[in-house]
Amino acid sequence: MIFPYLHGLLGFKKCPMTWILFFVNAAMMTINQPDLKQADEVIQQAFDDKYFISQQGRYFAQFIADHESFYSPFLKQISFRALGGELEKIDLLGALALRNQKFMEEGPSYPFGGDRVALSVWHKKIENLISVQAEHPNYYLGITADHLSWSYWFTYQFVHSGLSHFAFNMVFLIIFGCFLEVLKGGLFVLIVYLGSGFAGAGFFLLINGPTMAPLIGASAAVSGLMASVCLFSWKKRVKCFYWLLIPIRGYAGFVQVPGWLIFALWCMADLAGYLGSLPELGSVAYVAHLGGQLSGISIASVSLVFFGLSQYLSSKFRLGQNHDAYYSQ
Amino acid sequence: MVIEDFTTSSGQKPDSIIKDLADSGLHWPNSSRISLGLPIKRLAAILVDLFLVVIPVSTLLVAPLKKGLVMALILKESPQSYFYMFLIGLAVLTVVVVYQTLMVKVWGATLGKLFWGLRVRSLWDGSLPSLSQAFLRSLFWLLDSVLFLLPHLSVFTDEKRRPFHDRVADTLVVDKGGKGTSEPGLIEASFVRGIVSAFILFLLGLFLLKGLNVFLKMEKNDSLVNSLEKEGSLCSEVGEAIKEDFNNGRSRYEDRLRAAMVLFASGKVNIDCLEAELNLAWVRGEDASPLAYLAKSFVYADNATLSDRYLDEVCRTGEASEDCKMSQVVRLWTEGNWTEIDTIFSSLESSVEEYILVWAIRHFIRTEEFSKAELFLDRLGSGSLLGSFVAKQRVKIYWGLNDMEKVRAATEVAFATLDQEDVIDLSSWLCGEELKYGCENAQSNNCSVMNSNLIMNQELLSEGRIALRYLRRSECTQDQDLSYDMLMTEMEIDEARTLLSSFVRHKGNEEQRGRRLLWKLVQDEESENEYREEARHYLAKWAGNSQDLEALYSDWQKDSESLNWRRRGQDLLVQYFRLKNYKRSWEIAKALEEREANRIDKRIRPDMIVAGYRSGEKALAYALLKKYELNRQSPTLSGILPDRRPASEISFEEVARVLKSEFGER
Repeated sequence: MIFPYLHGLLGFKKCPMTWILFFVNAAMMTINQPDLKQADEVIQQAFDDKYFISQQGRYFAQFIADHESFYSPFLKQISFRALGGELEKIDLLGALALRNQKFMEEGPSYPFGGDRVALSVWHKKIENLISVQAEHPNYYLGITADHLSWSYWFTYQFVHSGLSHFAFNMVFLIIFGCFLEVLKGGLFVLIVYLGSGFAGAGFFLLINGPTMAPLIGASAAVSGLMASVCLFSWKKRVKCFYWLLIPIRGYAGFVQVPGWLIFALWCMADLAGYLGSLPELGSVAYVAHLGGQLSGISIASVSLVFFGLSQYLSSKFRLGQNHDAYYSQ
Repeated sequence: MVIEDFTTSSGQKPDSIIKDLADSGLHWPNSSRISLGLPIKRLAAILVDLFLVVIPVSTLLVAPLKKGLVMALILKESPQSYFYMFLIGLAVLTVVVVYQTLMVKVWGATLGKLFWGLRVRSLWDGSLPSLSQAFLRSLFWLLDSVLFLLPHLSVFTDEKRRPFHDRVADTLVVDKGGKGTSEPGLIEASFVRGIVSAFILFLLGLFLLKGLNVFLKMEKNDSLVNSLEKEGSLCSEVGEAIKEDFNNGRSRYEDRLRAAMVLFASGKVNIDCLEAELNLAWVRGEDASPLAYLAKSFVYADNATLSDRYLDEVCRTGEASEDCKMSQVVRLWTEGNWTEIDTIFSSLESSVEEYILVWAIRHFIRTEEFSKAELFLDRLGSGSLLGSFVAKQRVKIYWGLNDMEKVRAATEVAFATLDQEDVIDLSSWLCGEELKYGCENAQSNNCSVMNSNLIMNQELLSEGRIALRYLRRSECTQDQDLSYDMLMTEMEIDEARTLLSSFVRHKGNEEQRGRRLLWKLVQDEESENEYREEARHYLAKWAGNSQDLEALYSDWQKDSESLNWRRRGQDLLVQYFRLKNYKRSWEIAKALEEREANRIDKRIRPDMIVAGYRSGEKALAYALLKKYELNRQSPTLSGILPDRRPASEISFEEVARVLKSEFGER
């Protein structure tokens, strides 16, 4: 087990911007919590309603068969099996349908045949679900197929699906944000945070396309911060905490690891996640993480180039001034 | 012991001399003070390698394979998923071997070992291992790891702390900084050897148990597979039925659903079968017919609102259809409006759907209108699809009509033609009915048929009704050989288990608890009605004090709409009579006479008359006597079951004589 530690926890005075970002996230989390809980319960009920899910699976299977060109071979295969009478596949499709934009948009008004009772029950429930989703923070603040305007690209970075999601992102925000803020200043942290968030969203939409499941969370932004930190200390030592599961002195403690290694491990994990998960089933937006990392690295590189240029220019015009102090923080 | 020799008397004993010679041949610089790698550092190095290299690299490498595996698992393509699993395993192993080989060849250590200052060296001269040595070492390292890491433990026992892979590759691990350790001591080595041996024994035991278990499970699984195939996504019963009976030009799907409805009504298939047929209907896009809606209302019977909506849809789709009439009947069932159902069924045309006929027969048997049931049964063709249903219902109807000659004939035919399961069902029903008239019938022909067949098919005890009747018989015979443990494992119905344990308590001088269990069953409205009735019966029977009986009595008075009202009343009447509470007996008799005069069991009529006489209402008792005098000689149960002698048989003769003389007869 290895965990980045860097400067550890720094106070508000040393890294105000990072803490402000943390507080904004925390405030959003607190404000949204009641709505989130309420809406989540309703959505969970829909998933638990076997009749609703299996009917929806049937309609989705039929819908896929009627719109083959819009769906992946994998979904088409599942639909084919469902239409052949495999109940398990019908239920699977019933759950997957809620993530599919095309079906959620056109399904409720699509002329499905057969059992009229089932159709009317399904209509009522799906309309209820759509109205509940409209009040769900993840849906009205996150990026979905219906919410693609720029304001959502901003708000989605501050919404989390639950306490663990929030805590995980915030720990890394504070560790990397504080380190970067001491090194480069608050404005730089803000630029990297927001810029990486935008890039993450862009990447996600570019590769996965718009979905009905909302894209939320600070992880793309935090990935960007991490990537920037790693670039600035590419060959320098970064303080990490390690713990080797052996309860003996010397087998847990701090170790200095080069930035490139942290970056490589992190990237590999996200890349593996992206390559290894099915977009139809996945729940972690690995692509957004990768976009954030790319953006973080780019912003940091640009700043390095500018810094090099300014150093070059200043050394040319004001000889003898030493800027190394910036690095050694 | 090599270790002992080596540590205690180096160079003295013959087998260690060779070793020492070999050691002296080592061209190590300062070979006398080789600092061996600490085992714990080696473990830490493995962990570092795992977290830093092996896990990240192999996860990335196998990611596309993992995706394929997930797809194959979801689509249940087992050859493909095994193939992916194999590839993933192979990829991880390759990562381990390539990483170790290259690192050891070039730097003499993996990243973890570098971190902890450990180095792999050639045994003979302390040089960097060659490529072949590095390769062999990593290959066998893998083998060691696959064997539950056990061979790795020889770092604690081997004289130079070389596990199997080091010995194969002629290498050893040293501490570069000299902070290592020397050869393991005797205690350390023996301790680890002991642990390893114990662990191996444990593993062996586990494997043996597991193997045995797998073997046993395999046998079980076979039958599971069979039954799954049997049920499949469609029912084989329906398939069979359709081949033989339903060739009338309708679409095949419609035929199947109709056949399924008939089989479901006659109790031959369960609700899952009906659901499977509906599923097929949906796949064909034909699930919007009145019949399909009706079937759906059965399938979703648990959800009242949904079921009702389906019922509504039946008539909306086909107002004139017979299915619509049936949907009205289903609605009346839930309301308990039996008279209205009677009217609907009685007005059915002769060419009515078979499944409705079946429901009608069941309805009339339930409401004990046996002559109507017989009429409907005659309208039902006795094709092979419904052959067993017809045979069984015929016996029940004759029984209800009290026509014992016909019962005997029909039973004989049924026993000869039905398959074993149906024979058990029928014989258990007959036995159960006979036992209602007294335990002396426990040795009757039907009870013996049930018993002997059940011995061969104990699994049928998992069916509620059969278990109930079996229990009734065992309670009667007070069977000493009866294995309650066996019964408990075979019977899957909760109610049957409660009943059984109340019997056990009752026998074992825990009457109070036995009765409490029965009351719990009676009061639990979720329980199967038949079991609640049975519990009431035993409560009445065991009522030593009249407290329970009084509670049952007031319960009975309140519950006058119940279909079992008459039977319960009769039970109570007999029990009160036995306790010589003639007044209460007579009250019950009057209530029964008022509402169900024609259906009162003729075997309890003497009790009624005696009770009336004893409670002083002689005129009424005489009227009853006159009314029933004519019927008294009609066919009795004699022949098929021994005549139950009423409790009052002897006193009844006397009472009848007194009454007749008092009211002017000779």
